Amino acid sequence: MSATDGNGMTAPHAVDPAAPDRGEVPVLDVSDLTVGFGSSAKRRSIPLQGIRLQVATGERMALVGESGSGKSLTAAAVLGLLPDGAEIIRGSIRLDGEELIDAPERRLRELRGGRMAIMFQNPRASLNPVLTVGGQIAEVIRVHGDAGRKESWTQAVDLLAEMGIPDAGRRAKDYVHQYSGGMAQRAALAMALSCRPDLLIADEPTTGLDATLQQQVLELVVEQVASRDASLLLITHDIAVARAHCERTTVMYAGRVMEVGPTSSVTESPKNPYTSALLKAFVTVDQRRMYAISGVVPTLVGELGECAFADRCPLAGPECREDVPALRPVGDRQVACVKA
Amino acid sequence: MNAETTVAGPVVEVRELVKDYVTRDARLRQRISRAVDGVSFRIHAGETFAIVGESGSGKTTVGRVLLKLTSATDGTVVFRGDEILDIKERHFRPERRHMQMVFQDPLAAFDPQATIRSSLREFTRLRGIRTRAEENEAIAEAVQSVGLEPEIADRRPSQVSGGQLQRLSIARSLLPEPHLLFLDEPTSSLDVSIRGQIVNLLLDLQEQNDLAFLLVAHDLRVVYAMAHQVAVMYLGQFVEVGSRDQVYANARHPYTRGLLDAAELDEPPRRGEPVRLVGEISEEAAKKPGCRLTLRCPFAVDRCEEPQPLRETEAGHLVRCWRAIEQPVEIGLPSDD
Repeated sequence: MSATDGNGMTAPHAVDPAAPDRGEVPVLDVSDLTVGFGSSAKRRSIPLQGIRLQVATGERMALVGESGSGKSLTAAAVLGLLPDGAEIIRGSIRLDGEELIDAPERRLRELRGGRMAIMFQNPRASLNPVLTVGGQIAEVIRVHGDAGRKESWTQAVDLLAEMGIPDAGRRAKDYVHQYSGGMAQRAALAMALSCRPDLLIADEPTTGLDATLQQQVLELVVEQVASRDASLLLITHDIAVARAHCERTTVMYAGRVMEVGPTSSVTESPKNPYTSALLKAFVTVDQRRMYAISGVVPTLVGELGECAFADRCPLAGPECREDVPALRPVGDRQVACVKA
Repeated sequence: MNAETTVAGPVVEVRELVKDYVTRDARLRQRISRAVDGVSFRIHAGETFAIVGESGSGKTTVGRVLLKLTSATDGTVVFRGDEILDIKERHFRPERRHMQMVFQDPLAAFDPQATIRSSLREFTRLRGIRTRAEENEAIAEAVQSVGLEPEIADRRPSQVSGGQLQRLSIARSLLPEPHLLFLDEPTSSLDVSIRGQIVNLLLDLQEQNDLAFLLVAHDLRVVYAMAHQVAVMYLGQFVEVGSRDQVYANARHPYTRGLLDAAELDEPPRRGEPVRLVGEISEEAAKKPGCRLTLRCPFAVDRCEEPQPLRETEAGHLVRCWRAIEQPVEIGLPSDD
């Protein structure tokens, strides 16, 4: 195993290099999470298989994958908001050490919006269209804290101002449809941060926005999360976004974690061929030609018995078909590839 | 209208195109918003002209007017030697098959209830094919040309993957044997690992069939791979036009520079200082006589409020910013060498 793959990012844990080294207990600790859809064991699809994901205190973790990779479903499982028909088959989800699987709905409701909060791709999905923006943020502050009506309104306006909404006192009285796309996403961030969560999950928060706005909003998210000592789980399909904004990156493909490690090393010297392919698809543009990965993303039926990327992988050999490659330590990260 | 006499000229030439949308407010007062404000360009056979810009810049409207999917307010479009904006739809119809569109959402191009074959069949008729055997032959050929097995045409749109459906939608657009394809965000509904396949397919088809492409896209990497000429559009106007390398490697307009920086491209390497655009696109700014970017531009000064013509900075490279031309060093550009 190499000892020279960091640029100052050397991991102190020889046994488990993916373990966060800043806090004792990670804010979020997901292990072996496996989720199935459908009742009959034969036809059941397994969109998440053995997911492992840890986010340390104050850390910014990117969860990168294409559609169907299971990144949003992972977030839904963490929040206890899996869609109908989905069922957790095995695994564990701990928030600040507390197990969330099989936790009562009442407890989950306390934690959502309290200790963990989410920001969606469409900000209008997290804001009620028939309440004023300020009014609903104030309500969240009132419900989760002990501020009175007047005090919570003042806090809501302050929070909107902090998110860069000009003339916040007046705009707080507006409805979300009166906000532009960028402003609405700022308001959604204010809403998500209103109860000082330990963990902010941002699910493709800027995907619908233009690049210039995307940059502004993501920088704001990073800055606000950092100033609150909170952790960020940023879900994105764009590995360039991970590179620009997160310290660590988890790459998912077809419901599996392919590679986890410091973003700089994952993006500069990927060890899983899928990560390499994903990076080339974004970065390398030859003269009149783009890098193309042949084949299609597999549809998931049943538990996999081989590497999910084997059909499309330029390095695949018979050993890739023997079993699902487990995540194992390789240098400063963890990689699920027998060739790594 | 015949192709032989116009081979040398551009496939399409657009001059001073203007498109107004008229809406009414709550008091039924007319509000006119100018989506396209005096746009000119030409596209030759085998060439890709790309328009980039944020949502609301008017780039898709240019393509829609050009294809006569919506009327123009002013300006001319010359397609294969003939002015087409004033031709009545009835007379234009025989020519329409020569300009086709590839949609962002390939589902929009197919009837969800019907097999792909029956959707494709309508387009073989545009070519004058009448017998069932000829139809099937043309469909098989088109489906194979986009790298798929002919049997896939017997499925319904919901039974194929997104990447396959976009291939089929490209096959559909090629069936009437067009000279011009309007590609409206052709890859933005696709996954990253599929995107390259579609881009390469389009590039191959362009070369084989000598097609002219009008490409509208957000993704500056896709544009870099496909375009020969690039126009950067902001609130209805082109603010910078040039060859791909002029615009990417030697961007002059602060808006172009801001877009390129925000896209975090690795290639080509950036010249000059990074530019941060603040705020958002706002339609109100489209009513200004001067530069429409001033509220978002870090270099804006009083003179920017005067009308800004599109001026040449080097051969074939046009910029709508007086500072980029007269004071490049002051706004963080390398001086012209």
